[in-house]
Amino acid sequence: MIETFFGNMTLSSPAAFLSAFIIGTAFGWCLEQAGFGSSKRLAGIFYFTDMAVLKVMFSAVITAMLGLGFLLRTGIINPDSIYVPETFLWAHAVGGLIFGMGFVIGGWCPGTAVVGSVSGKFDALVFIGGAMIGSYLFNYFFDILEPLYQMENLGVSFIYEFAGMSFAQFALLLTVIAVLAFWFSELIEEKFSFAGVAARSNGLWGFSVLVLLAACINLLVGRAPSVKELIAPTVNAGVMNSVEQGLDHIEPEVFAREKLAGLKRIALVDLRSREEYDEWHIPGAVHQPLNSIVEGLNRYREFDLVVLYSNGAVHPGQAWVVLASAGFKNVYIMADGLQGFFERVLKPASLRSGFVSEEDAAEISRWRAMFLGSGMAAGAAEPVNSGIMTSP
Amino acid sequence: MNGAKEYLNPYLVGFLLGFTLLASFVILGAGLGASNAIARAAAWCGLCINAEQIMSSTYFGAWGDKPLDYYLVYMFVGIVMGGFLSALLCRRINVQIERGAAYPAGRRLILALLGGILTGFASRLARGCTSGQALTGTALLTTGGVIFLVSTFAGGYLMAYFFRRQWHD
Repeated sequence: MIETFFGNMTLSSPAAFLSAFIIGTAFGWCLEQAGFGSSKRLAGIFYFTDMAVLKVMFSAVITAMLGLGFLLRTGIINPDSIYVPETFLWAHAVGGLIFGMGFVIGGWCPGTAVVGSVSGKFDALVFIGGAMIGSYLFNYFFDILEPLYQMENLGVSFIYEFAGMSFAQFALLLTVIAVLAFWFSELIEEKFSFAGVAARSNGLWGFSVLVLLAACINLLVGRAPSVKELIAPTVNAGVMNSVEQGLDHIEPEVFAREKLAGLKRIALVDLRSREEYDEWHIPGAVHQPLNSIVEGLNRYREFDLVVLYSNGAVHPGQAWVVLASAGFKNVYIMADGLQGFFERVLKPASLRSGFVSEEDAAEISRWRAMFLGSGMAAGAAEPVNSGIMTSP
Repeated sequence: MNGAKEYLNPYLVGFLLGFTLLASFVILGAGLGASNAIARAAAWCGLCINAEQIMSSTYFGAWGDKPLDYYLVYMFVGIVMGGFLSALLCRRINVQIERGAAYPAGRRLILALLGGILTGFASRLARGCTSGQALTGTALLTTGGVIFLVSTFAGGYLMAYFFRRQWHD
């Protein structure tokens, strides 16, 4: 099994930087060889004069998609080792729309403008300057834009799930669409002359057969997860538990006390799955999946405390390491996780074993009032049960 | 453009580009990206001008005081290198303002700037550009990547008619 820099949480190491540089070189070379150092050629797609953008992008997408599908299904690479960008419906839809307008107005997109610049295109350099200004404006107006930026967060969401398909099934469907699109592009370029398309010797026949075959093979290979994959999480858990000893913890009582005092800015972060979070979470907690944690928690960087919790210690441990390496200095893990919070903060004094002093009981009921609302405060004797608690 | 070589077969380039993206997944564990480095360069410039303002801003501030220490910045430098070597070896370096024969150069530059501002802004909003969302996201079959791709083409075709003259020869 291959472990990636992302999987090892070493994406900020010199080795990763060097790898990124080499991959970038190949990327830039491909873009230039495709002719994307010319805005005229790029704009051709929008006027149906040159379909190179569609051909190159679609072939690249299906090549990477089929290759990745194969590596995942054979267990050569673990899905957890790959960063999958989250979906934010509105940000992606509105962002895409504005992006497309900018693309056709400016004649470039960021990657191609770089290649254009080094090919001597002055307009590409101006475009990059504009993109820097645009990025700056986004930062400047971020507080106004944030609702749109975060709206309709579907988390890690795959398009094939909506179609009720598997990765490989959808990949085959997309490959068929791509092949049709390739032939249609050729027809457009030849002004719908079938003879013209037939006269072209660009290897499209061979390529079509190759990708369709690859998509079919992809559908047939290794369905069951490999043994290695099944063992991996437990090994990982062991490592994380030992790493975990060195991390900062906050006792649930201390957290509750600070929260009640209200003097510190505290962010509470739920690292469990979206379903678990929706079912119940500590009131005031935000949901944050691990794969976008730095970006998601950026706005809490200046807070006094960022408290992470989950069911166990593995997720907060990983999250802590990621955040610490991103420069966060205010991150704490809730000791004993959600279970500890139930037992040590929310559990009514009357249900606790051992002696509870009157002062402690009063404090516990204040905590319960804070987290559960006054209706369930002091006298409520019901045992803590996730079924009857709903977040405000 | 005397002696410039022809562009490579688009399907072959697409295959090689796809392979590069696959290598990025397997080695880095993350896909390709270009716009992030541009935004980080903007944050870096901002830090040089008014560090306090940038560090206290929500979005750029999250990148800390060394925004360029990031793998996508190194990838960006790679794109510069790869693109330059390729253009050099194929004799395609030609200093010019690319536009239609009769189109004024100044107008073309204004459009390039305007387009740059829009894409720079939009790629931050959408958390990526053609590389990070349309290519990487779609290859992973993420919902967001596919939506971004579709709405990019929608936005492009919506505006194409009004800006066609800059390419007319």
